[in-house]
Amino acid sequence: MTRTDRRPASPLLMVAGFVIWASAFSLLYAALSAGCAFGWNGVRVGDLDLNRLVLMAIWIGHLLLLVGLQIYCLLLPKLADDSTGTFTRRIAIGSTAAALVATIWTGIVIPAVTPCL
Amino acid sequence: MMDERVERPAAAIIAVRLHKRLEALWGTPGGWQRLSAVNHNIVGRRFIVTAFVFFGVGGVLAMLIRAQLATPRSAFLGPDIYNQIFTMHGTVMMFLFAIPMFEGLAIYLLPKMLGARDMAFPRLSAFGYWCYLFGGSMLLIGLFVGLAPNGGWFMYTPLSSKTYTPGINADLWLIGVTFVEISALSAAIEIIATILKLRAPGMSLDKMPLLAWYLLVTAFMMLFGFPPLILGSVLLEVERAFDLPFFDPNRGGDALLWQHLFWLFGHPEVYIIFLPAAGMVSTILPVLARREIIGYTWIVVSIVALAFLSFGLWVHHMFTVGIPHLALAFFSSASTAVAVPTAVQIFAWIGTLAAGRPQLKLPMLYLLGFFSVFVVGGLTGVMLAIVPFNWQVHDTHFVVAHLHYVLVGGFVFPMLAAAYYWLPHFTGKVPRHSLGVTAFWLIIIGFNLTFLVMHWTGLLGMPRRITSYGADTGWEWPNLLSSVGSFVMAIGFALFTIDVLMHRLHGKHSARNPWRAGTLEWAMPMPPPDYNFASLPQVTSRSPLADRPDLGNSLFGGAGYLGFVRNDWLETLGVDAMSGRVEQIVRLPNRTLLPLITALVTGVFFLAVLFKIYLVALLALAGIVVALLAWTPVSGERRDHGALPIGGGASAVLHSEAASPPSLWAMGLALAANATAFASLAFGILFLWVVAPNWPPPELIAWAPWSALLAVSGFTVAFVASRIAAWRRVIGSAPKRDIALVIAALGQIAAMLGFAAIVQSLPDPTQHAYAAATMIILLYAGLQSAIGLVFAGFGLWRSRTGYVSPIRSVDLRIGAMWQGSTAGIGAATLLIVFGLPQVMG
Repeated sequence: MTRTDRRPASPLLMVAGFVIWASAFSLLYAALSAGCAFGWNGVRVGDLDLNRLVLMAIWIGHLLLLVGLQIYCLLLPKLADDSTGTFTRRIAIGSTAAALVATIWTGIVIPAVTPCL
Repeated sequence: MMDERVERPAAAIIAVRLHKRLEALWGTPGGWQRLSAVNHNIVGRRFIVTAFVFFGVGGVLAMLIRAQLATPRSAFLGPDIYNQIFTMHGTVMMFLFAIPMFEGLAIYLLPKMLGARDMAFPRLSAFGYWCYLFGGSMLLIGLFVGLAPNGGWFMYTPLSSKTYTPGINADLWLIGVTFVEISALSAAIEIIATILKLRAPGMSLDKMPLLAWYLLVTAFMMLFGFPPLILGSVLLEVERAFDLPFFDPNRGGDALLWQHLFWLFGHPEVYIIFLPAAGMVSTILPVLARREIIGYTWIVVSIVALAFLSFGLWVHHMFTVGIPHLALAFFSSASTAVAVPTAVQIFAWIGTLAAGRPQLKLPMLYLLGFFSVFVVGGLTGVMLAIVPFNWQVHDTHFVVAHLHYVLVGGFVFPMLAAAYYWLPHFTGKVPRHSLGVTAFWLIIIGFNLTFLVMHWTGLLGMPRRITSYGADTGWEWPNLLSSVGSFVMAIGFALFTIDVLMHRLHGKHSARNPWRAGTLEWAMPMPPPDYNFASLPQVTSRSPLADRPDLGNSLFGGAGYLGFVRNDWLETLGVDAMSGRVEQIVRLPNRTLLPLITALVTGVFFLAVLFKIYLVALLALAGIVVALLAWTPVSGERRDHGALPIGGGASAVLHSEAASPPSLWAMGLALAANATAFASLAFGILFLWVVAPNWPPPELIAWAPWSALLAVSGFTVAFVASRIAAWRRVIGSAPKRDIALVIAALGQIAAMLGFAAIVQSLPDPTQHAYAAATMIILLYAGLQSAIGLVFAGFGLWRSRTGYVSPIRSVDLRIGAMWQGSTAGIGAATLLIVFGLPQVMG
């Protein structure tokens, strides 16, 4: 199978990156609220408290998802005779990159800030 | 030569004949029959004119506010009236001006820019307009009789709860705004379905005008942004009417729940207002800069980014309420991040100006005003996104100044530019004098005098919404300057209004396509005929008119698709959402009074709720269902037609026989909005469990296994039976599909009985927010089943009256979609009702 035989980018890829960002954002806020309500910050797991550990796991998990999605988008075929497919691919790559940066920016304070203060 | 002379008159005669036939079919007669109009030209204009009238009302209220605040210890307005005036100013400008103005422009312009003859659901447009007019009028009448809402445009609890606002004022806001929001949601569904399905053949996603991208994304934002507010309004109204304590901390409620639900809508709302205006800028600016816009792809990426990020900012309105610092950091980071995609667009516009040959025409003047004002508003927005600064200026006039820079800069200036840009299209005329230039300078000078100074007033510590202030506060001069500036600005807006009215009466006739634009709305006579295009174009680029300047004449002569009248049908083409390939002929409904009647019955429902005459409200609810069902007979076919010619040797099936008709998309979108409302309710319950005081509740629901089993069996059977009815091996047999639909109806009856039985086992819902919220979510699930019952009955009726065949399955597929959604919501409800107490308790 040559690269040009592959299917063009799905239009859903244009928003997939930011759907992952939205998931990260919602889960981080929900987990922080639940953790503070249930006292997870008082439970130690190694050097970290449980609350921060859960938040880090959510954050890094979503970052890995986004990196995977970015690689998938970059590997999508460039179809010379399909301007719509090329356009969709470009949007998917751009919006996934933007979502990756936004997710890094959203969670970058997790290691630094006290969760429930 | 001889042949050409003969051919030209013949072609002209054919074109005029076609025009007359189409006009007779698509046109709306004058007089009382005008009330039956559903055509997008008329409905769009009505939205725009009505929104502008409300803008005038909001402006007068602003003048009263500034008159009151011009001097210290002013006795011009008393506190009661002042509270109503500033509340109504915000409410009118946000709900009755900005959103409907964009809806009107979208309804008027979209079909023309996309190469279609109308919106996908013309009756829905008309229904939305009447809901907007009636809901807005309710609020205005409240103002005139001194009963207007008075708790601020965001109606914070507990101030807006029954204890502190005992009269009808808050109810008027909750009910009036919810009434108006019907129009916003219906517009959102219609705009998305139209953009995705009703484009000209060949107009693939990458060839869409940028404005269509902006409106598409905005409509999606409305679809997900409005349900939280509708839900919050329902909860607050139920609390006020029936004493269910969702927001009362003494009984397990939380006032902050209202703030979350409101700002979940409220902050995206800012971008819902800004994005269509930015779309106008992206449309007008390249035309006046005489080059294609730079960075089309990056602009689309930035619109998508803006749409998502704008849903992660809502808590920056709540930075001072006592949220953990880490949560503040999440929302602060999203609030700063949103500036990046906004900046991408601004740089694309600046780059286009720099690379082009810009002309300082009147619309461009207003665009320059937009740049200067909006960039300042954006920068103060970044300041407010920073938590320590936000704490310092929270609830001061600095915030008032910021939001006016964003909203006036980001919406009003682009709309004024759009008004002058598209005036020739609306009326076929251009202003004779240059009043618009004088108006611009008065508005920009007056605006900056008012609001630039107001930043200073805020930094001096003047709070928002105070009726008066002392003479020794240091706020006297800045307030006086702001008031003088506001009156200068008002004179500018008055001059703009006069200019528009004068041009209607005395303007010069405009040449066709006066700005030499490339988009399709200029490929038609001005003002446009009701059918837009005598025949529909084939599109091969983003600027079809630039490629073929004679396209308008060619289409008028009937050279494109559907350049004929068939069976007196109102036809336009439906395409594949991605590629723009022709897929179907969409047959549109003609003028009817049904949208008006339905809106009137809806108005009766809201009035009955307002005055707490609940029996009438229930009857009106039934009336709304009957009225909506009365829409359906003309929206289907009683026989298979197969592929029909569309011109140019091509053919397509009718939408009722297509795999992916617009109505199927509309149902999917409505279900998305419904799911968002349900998710907001689920969030509310979880929020109360986790955050609210006085939890866990004193008494939990008793486990009701048989009732739960009845509900689960009911909605599952309904879902499976409805899918079977639409299954290709069953749909061809009328008795089999009818039996399946009867089973679906019985299933939903069982589900309703199950949910009702569970409600019976609840503790007293007035004692604690737990029981109140649990009751509401059960009623929500029961309502889904009740609507599912209507869909099953509707499917049965369509099946028995000849609207269904193996290739005309859309009615049954729509019903199956609803039953599937009901099953999902029902299952989630039972998990929340019985599972959450196990996890949290």
